[in-house]
Amino acid sequence: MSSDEHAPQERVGVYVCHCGTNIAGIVDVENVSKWAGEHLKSRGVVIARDYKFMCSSLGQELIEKDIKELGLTRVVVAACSPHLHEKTFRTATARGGLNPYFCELVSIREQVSWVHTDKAAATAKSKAVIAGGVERVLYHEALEPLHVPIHPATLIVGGGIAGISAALEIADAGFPVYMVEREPSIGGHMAQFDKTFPTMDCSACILTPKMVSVGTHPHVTMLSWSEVTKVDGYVGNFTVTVRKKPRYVNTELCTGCGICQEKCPKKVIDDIFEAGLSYRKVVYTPFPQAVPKYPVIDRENCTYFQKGTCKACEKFCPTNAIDFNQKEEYVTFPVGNIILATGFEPFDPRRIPQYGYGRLANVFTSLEFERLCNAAGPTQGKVVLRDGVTQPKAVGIIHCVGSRDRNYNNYCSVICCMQSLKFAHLVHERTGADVYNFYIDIRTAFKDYDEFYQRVLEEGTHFVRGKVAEVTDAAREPGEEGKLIVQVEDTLLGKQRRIPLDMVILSAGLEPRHDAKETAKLFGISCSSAGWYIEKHPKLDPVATLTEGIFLAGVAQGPKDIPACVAQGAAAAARVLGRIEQKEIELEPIRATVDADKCSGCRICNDLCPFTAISFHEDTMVSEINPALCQGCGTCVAACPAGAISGTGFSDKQVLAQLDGLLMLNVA
Amino acid sequence: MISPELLRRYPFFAHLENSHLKEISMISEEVNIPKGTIIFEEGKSVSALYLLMSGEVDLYFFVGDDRNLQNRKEFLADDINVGEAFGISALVDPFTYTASARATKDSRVIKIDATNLRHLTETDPSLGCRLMGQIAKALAERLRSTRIQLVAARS
Repeated sequence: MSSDEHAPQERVGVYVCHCGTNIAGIVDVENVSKWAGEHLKSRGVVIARDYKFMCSSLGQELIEKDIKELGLTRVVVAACSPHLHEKTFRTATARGGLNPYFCELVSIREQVSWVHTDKAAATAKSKAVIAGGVERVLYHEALEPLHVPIHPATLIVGGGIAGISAALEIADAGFPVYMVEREPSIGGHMAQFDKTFPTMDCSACILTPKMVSVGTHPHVTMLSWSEVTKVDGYVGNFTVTVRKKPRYVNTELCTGCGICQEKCPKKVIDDIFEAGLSYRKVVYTPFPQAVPKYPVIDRENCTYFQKGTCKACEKFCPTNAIDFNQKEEYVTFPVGNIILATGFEPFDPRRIPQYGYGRLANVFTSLEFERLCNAAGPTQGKVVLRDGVTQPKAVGIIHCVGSRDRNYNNYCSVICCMQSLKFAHLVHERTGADVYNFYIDIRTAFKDYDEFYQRVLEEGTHFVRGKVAEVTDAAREPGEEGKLIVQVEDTLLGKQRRIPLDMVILSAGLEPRHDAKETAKLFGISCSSAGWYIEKHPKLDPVATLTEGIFLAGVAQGPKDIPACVAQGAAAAARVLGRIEQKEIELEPIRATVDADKCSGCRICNDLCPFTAISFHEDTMVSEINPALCQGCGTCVAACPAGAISGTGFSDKQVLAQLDGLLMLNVA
Repeated sequence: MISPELLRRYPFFAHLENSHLKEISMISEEVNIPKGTIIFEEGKSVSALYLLMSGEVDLYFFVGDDRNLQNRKEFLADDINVGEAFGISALVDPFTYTASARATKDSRVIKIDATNLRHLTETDPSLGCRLMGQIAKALAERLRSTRIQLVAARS
């Protein structure tokens, strides 16, 4: 027994919580506390109590009072998971006059009462868990939290509506913001949409004022056509490196007049902004209201770069702003906090071959349809077939394409139902065509959404409940010639139907960016199995991440509609502003440290650290852990072959002592 | 023969009836053209009208002859964008190619037999009229782009 020689000079108080019947319903709480008082006396327990709700003010006062009156030096609370109330009991311990880290919280709810049905066994296990806690707490050290200053600047990655909302909140409060956007202009997907549900406001009309505000804001540094390549440092003190891709346009001279774009003789299909529906020039701004206004030259397709002749843009530019010699540039700057608002990509319906997208001309994706409806789009807002002229007389809209389907994505993409209803309304309004919506369930939660559904129903849209089997051009029956036929089981009628249509719109779901995992790694956060960034807590902290100083906004964290993106952007900004105003942040002192004398310099820990907190000193050949970056996960502690790394609060002594306790080796 | 669905995608065939699309699809084929392939040569009589589905095609003139390769010189005349037709001399008298065409990337094209296409336009004037409209539009676009480059080169 390792702890025999360690005569417990500490005076330990044990507090067992009933948590109403949450714990007491399965665990004989009184018996446990009585047992601890008797059998752990030799390990320093001077008082053991049970109480209905330890987390209540009265429960906490019990601890404070005992520390003062009985001279306790250590506290063990057996209650819920440390995730929930560790801070509560540490604070109570501190109020009693002890170092807060002399308190140990052991879980007899999540790890005992909620997972067992056998009362006697659960009671015995509770005793073991408490014995472990008592033995461990004897080895606790007094710890002081780390204080780290917060740099007032913030990095926002992604210039969609979520990033814009966050940027404006922070910049309006007077703090500097760096906005990094991969595309030539900010605006994101919202800039491509025509109308926004359920109010049918014009998307660009409500977005562009915000884009202009960000673009002209004195506190915002706009880095468009740029990507973050490196993030060093830790909360409050990140150092960010951004690659500015060459625009081949001198932004000091360019007035954004658009003559280069008009004169460029080379055009290519615009796969990004116009969703492949029309052409853009090789020197271009994605859309007329682009922010910033400066165009970029697409080097891959430029006749001058590829074939050595042309330079029409240079010749015609009235201010001589075209600069074919521009090189890429790296800029580095410090920030205190980072907000990731990198958005989504639409599901590619080519992956569902039976829906015919890419093969059948008049099958459209939702993004293509948005562009068709848009007055600034390829057809000036006319809803027409792929030939560019024919108006459809019957249109089908298929919901849940790529969502709620175990072959593709299990999750609901949230926006598709409302999007599809919006499309139905727009088709009615613009063409008077017959509209069929093929749905599995209609999900119109949130303010004014169901009212919109009612409106679309009243407009005479046909709703067919059932998953579409296929979209085909193979006519079988009269009236199907030259049409697209949707084959569907109408589950409300209980029969198979074939519906001939002129146009089919696939309401594609949302997917994480194809490089979301690499981005997550760059910033030291994690992705869910679907690829969405993981928030700190799904309910109580949906904007922070497990990495201090990195926050989330928008669809990058999970599918959501525009109002939710705006709200999350503002929420992330509020969290950042709170940090900036505090000027410094207190960090948990649970950290790993390297004993430089024992470190062999093998560097195994360097790559394992999920928070990139470990750096290697080439001169001394030892690894060092940055205490502000370290989150105390313990991965390196376990991996170090030389045993040179130890975790504060998780020393070998503490863990072995806890094991002794769990095995009841310390019980008299 | 190809599916009429393939033609329906392209504005070049807009305004055509379903029956027109079917007739054209009967005399068309889908062809893969590896990078570097010469598709047709200047001065030869036209065998087909093409529509570029993917990849890239350059139109160019050359001087010199095949026997004396040292003297052979090439001049880039134009390039064809995805979705555009080329070999439009197929419908324009005297039905000889006015430039050579070469794939500069691996490309896919719709190849429409010229003789049969001319026959269709002659027997069905409404089809002919609509197709000629598209040919005129394509030529006008090329002329505009050429003028711009000309102005740029002269200034």
